[in-house]
Amino acid sequence: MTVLHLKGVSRTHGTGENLVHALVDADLTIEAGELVAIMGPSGSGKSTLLNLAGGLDAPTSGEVLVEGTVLASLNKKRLAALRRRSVGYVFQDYNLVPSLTAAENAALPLELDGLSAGKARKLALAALEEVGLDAKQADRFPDEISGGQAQRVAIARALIGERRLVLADEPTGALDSHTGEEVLKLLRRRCDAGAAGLLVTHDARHAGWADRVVFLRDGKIVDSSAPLAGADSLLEGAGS
Amino acid sequence: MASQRLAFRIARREAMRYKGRSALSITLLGLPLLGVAIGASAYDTTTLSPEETAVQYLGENDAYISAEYPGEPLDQFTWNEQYPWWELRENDDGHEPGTITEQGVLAELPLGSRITPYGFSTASEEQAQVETPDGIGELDVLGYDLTDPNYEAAGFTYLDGSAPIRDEVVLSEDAASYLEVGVGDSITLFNGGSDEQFEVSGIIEIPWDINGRYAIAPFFPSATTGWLVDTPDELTYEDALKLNEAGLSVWATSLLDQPSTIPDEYGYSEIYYDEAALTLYVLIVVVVVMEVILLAGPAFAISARRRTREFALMSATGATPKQIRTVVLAGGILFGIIAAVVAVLLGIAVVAVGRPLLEQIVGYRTPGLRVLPWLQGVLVAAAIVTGLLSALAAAISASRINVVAALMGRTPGRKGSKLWLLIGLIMVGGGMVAGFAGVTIWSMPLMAGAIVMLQLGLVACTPALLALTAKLGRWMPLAPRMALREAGRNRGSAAPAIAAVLGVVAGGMAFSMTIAANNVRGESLAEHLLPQGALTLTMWNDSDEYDPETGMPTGETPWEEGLAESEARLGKHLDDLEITQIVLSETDSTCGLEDVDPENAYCSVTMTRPAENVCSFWEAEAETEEQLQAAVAAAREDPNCNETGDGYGYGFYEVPTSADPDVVAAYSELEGDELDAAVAHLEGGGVLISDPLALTDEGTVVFEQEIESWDPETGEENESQTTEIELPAMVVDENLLGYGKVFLSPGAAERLGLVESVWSQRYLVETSTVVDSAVSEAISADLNAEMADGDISANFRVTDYNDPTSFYMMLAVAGLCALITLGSTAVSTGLIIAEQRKDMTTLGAVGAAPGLRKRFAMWQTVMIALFGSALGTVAGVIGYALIREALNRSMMNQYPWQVLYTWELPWASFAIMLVAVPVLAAIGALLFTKARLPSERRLT
Repeated sequence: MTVLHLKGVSRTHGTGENLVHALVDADLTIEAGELVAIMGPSGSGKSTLLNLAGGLDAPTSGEVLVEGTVLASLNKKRLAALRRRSVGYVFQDYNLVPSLTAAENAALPLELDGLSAGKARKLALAALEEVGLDAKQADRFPDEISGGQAQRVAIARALIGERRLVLADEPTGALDSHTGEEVLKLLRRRCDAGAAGLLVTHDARHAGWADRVVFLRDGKIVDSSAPLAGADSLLEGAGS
Repeated sequence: MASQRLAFRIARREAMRYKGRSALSITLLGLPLLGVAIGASAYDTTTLSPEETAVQYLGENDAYISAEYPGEPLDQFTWNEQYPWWELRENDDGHEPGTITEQGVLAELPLGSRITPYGFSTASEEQAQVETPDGIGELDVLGYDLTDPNYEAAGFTYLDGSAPIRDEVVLSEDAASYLEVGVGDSITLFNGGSDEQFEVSGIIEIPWDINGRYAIAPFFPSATTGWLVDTPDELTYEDALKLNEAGLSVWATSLLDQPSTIPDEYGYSEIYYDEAALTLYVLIVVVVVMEVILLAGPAFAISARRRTREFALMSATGATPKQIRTVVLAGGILFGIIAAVVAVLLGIAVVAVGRPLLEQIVGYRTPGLRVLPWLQGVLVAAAIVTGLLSALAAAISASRINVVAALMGRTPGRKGSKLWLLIGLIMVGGGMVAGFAGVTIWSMPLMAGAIVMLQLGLVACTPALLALTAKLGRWMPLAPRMALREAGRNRGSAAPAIAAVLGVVAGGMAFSMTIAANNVRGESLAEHLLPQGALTLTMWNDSDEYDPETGMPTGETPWEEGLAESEARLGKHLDDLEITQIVLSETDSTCGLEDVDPENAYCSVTMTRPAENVCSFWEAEAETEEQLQAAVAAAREDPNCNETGDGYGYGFYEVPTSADPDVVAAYSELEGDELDAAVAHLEGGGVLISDPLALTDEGTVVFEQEIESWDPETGEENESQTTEIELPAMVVDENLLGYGKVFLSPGAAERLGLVESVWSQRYLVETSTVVDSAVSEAISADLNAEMADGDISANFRVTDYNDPTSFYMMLAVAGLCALITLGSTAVSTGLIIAEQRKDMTTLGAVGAAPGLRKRFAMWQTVMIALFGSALGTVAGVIGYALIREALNRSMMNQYPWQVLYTWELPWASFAIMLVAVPVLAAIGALLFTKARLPSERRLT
C-alpha cells in the first residue's frame, strides 16, 4: 500500500534574480513497511522534500498524496488533522515540548485530536514501552532525560495512534554514534511493523538501515538505489 | 475540551518553568488590581451601616435627641440617620425657635430617663488658646462632665488616666501629643488677658473622632443642643412622636428599622443619574485596562517569541492555529486568575494589617474588616479579561508563525512594516476623529474607543517608526548605528518593550496632568490674592464700641498704636523688616453720595462686561427646568461663559487699593517695564483687572454702582438708583487678584465711592529671614498678646496655596513610571543583547574593543526609553484631554460653572520621563553590561 506519493513535485523560493529551485520535478513513492533514506549535500532540497511530504510546506507545482489524500485539496484545519492522524515528525533536536512529560509529548497528537488525557496517556505509555521507555521515564520532562531517550519519545509520538508515515530529519544528528544506531534500529523496527519512513541523513552508514536511498542534488533526484555497501561511493558520485 | 485542558496544562507548566518571567507578568497584571482590592476593602471596612453608625455614636445609650425647634411640633420623616429629616408642622417664615431646659426634655421622656449633654462634633464653636511648646495654639473644648456614666456607655474610652475632677481636664491623644503632655502634667489655657493652669487627668478617645484635638472638662462652656438618652425601657415610636411634638428630633437604636415617611412631593425616590460622572469612571477604567494590557502584553509577546520552535513543533504534530492560540491565551487567563487571587488576598491582608492606620486616616474606629465581596468578584473577572486581552496579540502572532522557518531555526523575513504603519495611522486618525466626535456629541463609547484606538495605533506605528529611525544610523558612530539598526531589525524585541513603556508613561502622564490641573483648581478655589510665599500682617478692630444702627465703630481705631506694637513684635523674629500698607477698600451704605440717608440705604458696586462679552446664560429665559438646561447647554458652547461659582459676582469687599510699586508688584506679579506701566496706569486713576472680557474696546472697564434705599417710616423700598462709572483699565494675569478680579488706584476707589475698611488693615511684610512653621508659630504667639489696650488684634500669615500632597503624589507616579520604564528597557535590552551574541562574537573576532558592547547596550536602552516615553507622553496628553472633558462636563451642569480643569503641564514629570529616565537607563546599561565580547562555539 502506498503511504506517500510525490508526483512531479517542484518548489521554488523567491522571484526574479533571487529565484531558487529548492526541489525540481521530484517523483517518489513509499510503501507501507518501507524505510527510504534521502541523502545529498547541504542545500540539495532534502528538508524541503520532507516538509512538502508532511504538508508543512506546499509545492509550487506537482502533487503530494498521503495515504491517497492530495494535500493541496485540504484547508489548514484538515491539513493539521492529517498531521495529527497520519504523519509523524522526528527532528534532529529540540523535538519535545519542554513543559510536557515524555508521556504527554507522546500523547500530544491524540490530545490535540480531542482524546481525553487519561486515554491518551494509556496509549502513550504503550507506545513508549514499544520504544523501550518505562513508566518512570514516561513521567520525566524533556530536560530530565537523555538525548537518545528524547528521540525515542519523538519516534513514539510520530507513530502513536493510527499514524503510518514517519518523517525523520537527521534524527541522529545530535546523538553519539551508539545512541544514533539504537534510534535507527528502532525506526527500522517500526517500519518492519508496517509503517512507512522517510529518513533524511548525511551519514551513509545510517542510510544503510533503509530499504532504498534517494540522492538529491540541486533539488533534483539524481539516483535511487538499495543501500548496500556501496552507498558511500554512490553519494560521492552524486556530489561530484 | 481536551485541547483546552492541554492548553492550560502547558500554560501552568510554562509558568512554573519560567518563574521569574511569570512573576513579572503576574505582578504587572496584579499591581493595579491590588490598588483596587485595597480600595474596595478599605471602603467597605470604613463604611458604616446605619446600625453601626448608631452604635458608634450612641453606644449602649437608647437614643440621642436634638432640640431642633423647641415648642413647635415637627414631623420626623427618617429614623435611621444621625441627622434625621424633619419639617415643622406649621411652617411660618421668620418664626424663631424657643428654648428648652434639661428638665423640659426629661418631662417629655418616660419616667426614670436620664439625659446627658452630647454633640456629634468635637470641633465645636468653643475654642481655647493654649500654650504649646512653640508658642500659642488653639484647642477645641467640650463642656462634658465625664463622671456621668452615659459617656462611657457612649464609647468614650480612657487610653490613660481617668475622668477630670475640680481643675483637671482630659485631652484627646492628638491634643496631648500636640502639647507634648501626659497624665499628671499641666497645660496653660489663656482667657482674655489671664492664663490658668490645669492638670491633665486622662487621655481619652471618642470612637467617632480619634484624630480630634480637644480637651474635655465640666467647667468648659457647652454649645451642644442635644442629649444622650438612657431610658428605663426601650424607647418606643410613640415616645419618639411625643418628643417630635415638643420640637425635638430623635435618633434611637430601637427605631432604626422604622420606615421613612418622606412625602411624595419631595421627590426623594428619584435617582440622580450623573452621566458625566459615569463617563469619567468608564474612561478611567479604560485607561487603566489599556495600560495593564500594554504593560503585561509585551511579557507575553516576548515569551511567545522565545517559544516559537515549541509552537512550530506543535504545529508539525498537528496542532491547528486555534489550538496554538489557545495555548498562549490559556497563559493569559492563568496569569489573570493568579494575579487576581493574589491581589485580592494581598489587598484584604493589607487592609487587615493596616486597619489602625486606616482608622487614623478616616478619623474613626471601624467595626471590623470587610471586603466588599461583589467588587472583589468583579476584580477577578476583570483580571481574567485583562490577562486574556494582554495575551491576545501574542496568541495571534504565535498562531501565524512560519512553521518551516521556525523548525529550521531561521528568522523569518521581516514583512508588514508598511502595513502596520498604515493600520497604526488609520487607528490614530480614527482615534482622533472618535475623540472629537465623542466630546462633541458626548458619547462615552466613542471617547473610550478613542483612547483604545489611539494607544493601539501608536503601538502599531512603533515598528515602522523604528525602521525609519534605523535609517538615521548611517550618519552615526558604530555603537549608536548598530543600536539603531538592531532596534529596527529586532522589532520583535524592541517594539513590545516600547509598547510597555508607552503604556506606563501614557497612564502616568494622564494621571499626573490630572493632579497638576487639580492643584491649579485648588489654588483657584483658595482665592489667589497674593503670590505664593507672600507675608502679610492683618490687624482687626476689636473694639466693642460700635453703632448698632450703622454697624460702624464709634470711636477712633488706634491703628498706628497697633501697627507700632505689631512691628516691634515682628522685629523680634524677622530681620530687615519692611512693612507696607495695602489699603483695603469696600463699599459703605451710601457710596459717598451725600443725598443718601446712610441709615436707610445699601450701596453695591459691581464690575460689568461689555454687552458683547456677557455670557449667553444671563440673557436666556430660564424659567422652566428644560429652559434652564438648554441655557446651560448653550453656555457650554459660549466662550464668554467662563465664570465660575467661586469667582462669580465681583463683590467689592476688601479690594486692594494702591499705587505703591511694591504692593502692585505683589498683587499683579508684574516686573520691569510692565510693572512701571501698571504703576503709571494706577497713578493716572486707572484699575487693574484680571477678567479680560470686562475690558471695553476703549480700554476701559464699566462699574455699576447701585443704591437701594427704603422709607425709614414704612420700610417700603424705593426705586434703586444705578450709575455707571467708566475707568481706564489694564488687564493682568487671569488667575490673579482673587475673587474681586480688580485692583484699584486710590483715585479709582474715590470715583467708585469706596471707603477704606474700618474694621481691618493689611500690610505687606518683607524680611530677609526665612519664615518656616516654627518662626510663624512663634510670631503668632507674640502677636497673640493684647495690643492697643485690647482694641486691636493682629494676625501674621504666610501665603501658601500649595498642596504638597498632590505634588508628592505626582512625583510618586512619575517615579513609579520611571521604575517600570527602566525595568522594561533593561529586560528588552537584555533580550536584544542576547540575540546579538553572534554578531558580537564576529565583532570581537575582527578586533572590536570590549567597550563597544557596553556602548551598544547603552544606545539600545536610550532608544527604547526615548521612543516609549515620547509616544507615551503623546498618548497621555491625548488621554488627559478626554478625561478633562469628562471631568469638566460633570462640573458644568449649572452656571456659573465650578472651577474647571485646565491645561497644566507637569514639567517635573516630563523631565523625569523624557530626560532622567533615558539618562538613568543609559547609565544602568553602561554599568551592568559585561564588556567582554563572547566567544562562540559553533554547534553545527
